[in-house]
Amino acid sequence: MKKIKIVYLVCVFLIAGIDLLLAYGQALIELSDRTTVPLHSLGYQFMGLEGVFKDVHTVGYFTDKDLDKPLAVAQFEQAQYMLVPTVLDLNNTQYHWVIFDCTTPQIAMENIKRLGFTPVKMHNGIILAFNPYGE
Amino acid sequence: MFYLLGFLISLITGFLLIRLLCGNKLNFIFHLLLGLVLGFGIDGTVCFYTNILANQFNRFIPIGLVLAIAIAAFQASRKNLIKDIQALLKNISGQDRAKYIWGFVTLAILAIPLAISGHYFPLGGWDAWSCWNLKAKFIFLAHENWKDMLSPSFWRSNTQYPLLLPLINVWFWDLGGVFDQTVTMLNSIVFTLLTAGILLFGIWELTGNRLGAILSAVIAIAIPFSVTLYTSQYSDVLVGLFLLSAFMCLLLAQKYKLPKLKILSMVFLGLMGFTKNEGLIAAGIAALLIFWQERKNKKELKDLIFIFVIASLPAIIFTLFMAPKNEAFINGLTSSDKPSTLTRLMVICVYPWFEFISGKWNGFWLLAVGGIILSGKKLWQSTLGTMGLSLIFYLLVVMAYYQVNTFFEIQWWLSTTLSRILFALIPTIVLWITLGVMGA
Repeated sequence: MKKIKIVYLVCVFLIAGIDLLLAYGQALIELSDRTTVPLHSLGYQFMGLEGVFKDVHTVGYFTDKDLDKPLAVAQFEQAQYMLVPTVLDLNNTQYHWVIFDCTTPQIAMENIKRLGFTPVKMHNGIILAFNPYGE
Repeated sequence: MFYLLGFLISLITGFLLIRLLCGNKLNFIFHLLLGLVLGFGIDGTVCFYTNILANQFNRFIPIGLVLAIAIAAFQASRKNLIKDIQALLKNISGQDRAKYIWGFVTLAILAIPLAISGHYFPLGGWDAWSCWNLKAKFIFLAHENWKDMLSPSFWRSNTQYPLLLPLINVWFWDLGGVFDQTVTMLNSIVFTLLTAGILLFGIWELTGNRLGAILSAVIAIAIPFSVTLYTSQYSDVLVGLFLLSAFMCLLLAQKYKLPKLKILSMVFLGLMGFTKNEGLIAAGIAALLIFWQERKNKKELKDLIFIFVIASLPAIIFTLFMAPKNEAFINGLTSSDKPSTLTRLMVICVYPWFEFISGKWNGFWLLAVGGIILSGKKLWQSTLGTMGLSLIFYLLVVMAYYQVNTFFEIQWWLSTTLSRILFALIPTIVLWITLGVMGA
């Protein structure tokens, strides 16, 4: 029994060592690479809009992206996170301000024109439009 | 700078309150670590009663209340305080000094990958910006409109989940007067190091085995997948920390014949109930089993139940009166559209085994099985038995929930959530098995 215990402790020692080495390896990769986590940095595209939305309770968020795809949902949810306390109403355009996050800026512009809105700001393909008839 | 101040206020408040309970009978470092855990819990609880229950958003109120608790605790425990601290510091010599040096070197080694990973994911993982930090920002910035975050359109944000983690972060933002993403990042790292510290110094205290204590802390924290989860700013870290702290207090209460530590154990379980719905279930199960263990001591049992209920009040109030309906729930037992099927049950029974042998855990679960076999009966006796049964019953309830709630496709749901449920249990499992193998 004592021998088995020693073997077990050696295994624990080895695995702990490997864990530590791998954790440091992962840290080194993270240190040298600042570009491969787009999913967790999508929200930065919406920075600056919070100034426009000061005292605005709700704005529209229009997207033609497939919201079953994680990247599209992540983009919407990070936009919401960045713009709190303003609430983003998904695919509702009846508000004064509407964010257009479409598959291409051209599609976004077409939708803005179709709805009769005025584009106000564009950043990384995301367009903020003003709805003159909005709530 | 304000983070450091908040850290110190939390630490002092928790330290003084534990001193009221246990005097200076605890190991000094251990007293500090548990004090900080309690201090964080108090920060969040005070924020709940002011911001959420009283709808009061003057930022100086939660800060002032925590300071008032600290001052009251100081007044109540100031007799011999300086003398006791001097005596405790004097004790940090010889073997004890070596213990602290080894312990802190281990924590420093663990802190480096945690700090890098935290910096790599400044916004945290998916649930951080979609749920936990989103709620914190709403409470801090939307003030009386904070309830916007509970509206059905936020169904993706788990609106029914409790608020302890967001409220702890809000308390720090209240202190600084601004929203600061660094707070959530630093808190997740501090919670992790507290978990490592309590595990390390606790096992050392209970077994006297230096190597075992260090290896336990490394095994529990350094799995690269765990490092990512620890720094993802999720509430699972708090579930793990409070569950570990609760059982550690229970074990130390036995070792040092300090029944008042059991009260602290109940406080930690109560606080755990306010971290996540899973935490509430785990807290309920663990508390019931501890009550059963203590059933012969009627007087003590009454106190434990009372303290558990008091500490659970924020969780009870929020869950019963404030939490919206879970929009991601379909009762598969009654639904004809999405019934609970036998195939679903089979997936639930089989999937965990693939999770256990998954490479992302670096063999942790195989080690755990080896440890369980090696420990034999020891793991099922006394407090270790209570721990083991708590873990088993909790996992059974979680599995039953996977079967009953058929809102999500089961394979996707298990693949995105089971690893986090297991991750939160790792510190307690490491404590449980280490004590089984080494003997307390």
